[in-house]
Amino acid sequence: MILEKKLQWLVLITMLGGILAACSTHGAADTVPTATAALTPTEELPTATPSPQVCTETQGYFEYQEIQTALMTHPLSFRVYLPVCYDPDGEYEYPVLYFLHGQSFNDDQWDRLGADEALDRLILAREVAPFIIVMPKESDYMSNQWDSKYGPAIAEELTVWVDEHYRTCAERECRAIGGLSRGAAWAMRTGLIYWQTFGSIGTHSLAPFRGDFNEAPFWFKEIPEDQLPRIWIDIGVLDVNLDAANTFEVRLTKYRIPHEWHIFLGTHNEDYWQAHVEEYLRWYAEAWKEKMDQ
Amino acid sequence: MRSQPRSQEIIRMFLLLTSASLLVGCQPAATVPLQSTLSPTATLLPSPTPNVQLTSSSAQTTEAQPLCEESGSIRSYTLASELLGEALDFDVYLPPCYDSASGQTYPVIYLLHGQWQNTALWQTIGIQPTADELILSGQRQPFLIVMPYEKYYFRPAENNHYPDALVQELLPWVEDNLAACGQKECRAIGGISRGAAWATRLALQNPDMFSALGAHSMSPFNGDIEELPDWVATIPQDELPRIYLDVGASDPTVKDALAFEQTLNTLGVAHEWHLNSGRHNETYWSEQIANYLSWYTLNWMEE
Repeated sequence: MILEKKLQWLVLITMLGGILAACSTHGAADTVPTATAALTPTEELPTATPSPQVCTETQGYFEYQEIQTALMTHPLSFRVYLPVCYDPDGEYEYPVLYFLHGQSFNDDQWDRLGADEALDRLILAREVAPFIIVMPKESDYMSNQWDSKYGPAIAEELTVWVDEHYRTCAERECRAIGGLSRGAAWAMRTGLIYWQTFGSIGTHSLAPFRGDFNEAPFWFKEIPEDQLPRIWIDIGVLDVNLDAANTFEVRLTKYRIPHEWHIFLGTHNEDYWQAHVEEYLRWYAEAWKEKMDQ
Repeated sequence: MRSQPRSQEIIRMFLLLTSASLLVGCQPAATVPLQSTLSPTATLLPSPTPNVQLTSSSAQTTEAQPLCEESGSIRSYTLASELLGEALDFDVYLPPCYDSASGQTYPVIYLLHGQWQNTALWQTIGIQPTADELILSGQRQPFLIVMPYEKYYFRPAENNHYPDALVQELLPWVEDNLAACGQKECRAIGGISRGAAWATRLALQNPDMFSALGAHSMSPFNGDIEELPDWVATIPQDELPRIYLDVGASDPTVKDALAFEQTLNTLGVAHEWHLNSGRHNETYWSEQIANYLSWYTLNWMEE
C-alpha cells in the first residue's frame, strides 16, 4: 500500500516536472498534445503492484495437522478448512472458528455434516467474510472432563500454533469456539474460562458437563461486563439433553449473561446438525461482518 | 483494494489543476482540454415523485428503470371501529416505490406498542430507516408495517375489545385498502412490552392468521402462562408460528419473560430466546429494531 502511494506521488511529481520542462524548452505548439496525453490518463494511474491473479476456486480445502502440546500426553490432531481463495500472504487476516465434534465422533464430523460446503456457498455468495475452521480431534472422548486437557490445550496451545502457521487475525474478536453435544460442553466451558481468547461461543445440542452448572457463575464473575462473549445455545425439542441444556440456559439468564437460545424441531442426531450447520456458520460470521469490506 | 484517502485525492487534483494552469500560463492560445478533467457529472437528484422524465443524456442510455422514492414513508390512518365504538388510529410504513396499482401485494408486519406509549415509539426507535435499509440493500422484498394505537393501554386485558378490533377490523381494512398480501405466510405480528403480550395472545389464539410472532421485552398478561398449554394444544405443530422472544438483561420483566419462555420449552414449542444487554427503554429497542425486522422478514427474501 505505502509503496503504491509513493509511486503515485512519484508519477505526479515526474509529470509536473515534465510539464514544466516541456514548457521551458519546447515550442508552444508541441506542448499541448504532450501535456494532454499526460493529463488525461491520470484518472487511471497504473498501480505499482501487478494486479493480483483472479482466484477462480469454487471450494475451500482441508489440511491435516498434528501437534504435540505440553498439556496433553498424546498428540493433538486436527483438520483445518481453508476457505476458497485462501491467501497465506495477502493483507486479509482470517478469523478462525474452532469447531469441536461430539462424543464417539471425531474431527471428520463437521466435514461430514457439510460445514465446508456450506461455508463455500456462503463465501462465494458474499454473504459472510471468509474464515478458517479448525476441527480438533478429541481422541480420548470418554475421559473424565477434568482430567482431560483437551479444552485447555485448544485455548492455550492450538490457537497459538494456528496463529503462527496461518494468515489469521490473532485477536479475541476474530476467534470463535463452538461444538456439538460434548463438543458444545467443551466450547462453553473453554470459551467462558478463556474469555480473553474467544469472542464467540456456539453450543449446538449442548450436553453440559455435570458440575459446570455450579462452576459457571464463578466463571461469569471473572468476565468484565463489556467483554462478555457472544453466546449461542440450540437444541432439539426431542433432545434428551434438553433439560440439562435448559438448566444451563436459565443459569445464564439468572446471572444476566446475554445469549441466545434456539429450540428447533428435531432430536440429537446428524440430521439435526446437518439441517442447521449453515445457520450456525452465519451466526459465527455475524461477529466478522466488518471484514466483508476488506 | 482500499479506496484512496480523500485528502490525497484532493491534493492530486490540486496538482493536476496546477499543472494545467502552468500549461495555460505558457501557452495561452492553445485550447487545453481542461474540461475533460472536470468531466460533467450527471447529477440525478432523487426526484420526489415517480415517473419523472429523465433529461440527462447519460441517463437515457441506461436501461429505463422507473425512478421512485429513495425511502419509504409513514402515513397515518383512522378507521371507525364498531368494536371499539370509536376511531382506531394507526400508522402504516409504506416501502420505497410502494405501488398499489401494480397488482403486486406486500407482506405485512403488525407491530403493537406498549403501555405509556403510542405509535410514535416506532419512529423514535428508527423503524423507517431500518426497514428502508433492509429493502434498498436487496436483502428483503418490500413489506408493509402496520402500527395501531392502543388508546386505553391502562385498561385490563379482560373484556378488552382492542385485540378483536385488530383482527376483525384493522386486518381486513389493511387487506382491502392497501396492497397487502392476505395469506398467513405474509403476516407477522409482534410487539413491545404490553404490545408483546397482545401479540402473543393474537398469534396463538389465531394460529391460522400469523406465521411469525415476536415478543419483545414482554411481560405476559396475568394468567396467560397458565393458558399457554391450552392454546398450544389446539395448534398442530407444523402450524405454529415462528416465535422470537427477547429481553434486556437489566429489564425487570426478565423473570416474567423467562417464565413464559420456560413454558414453551416444556411444551416443546420451537422458538428463539435472546437475552441482550440493555434495559426496558427506547435505547434498548433502538439497538434491537434491526434484529427484529430482519427476523420478521426472514422468509420474505427478494426473489
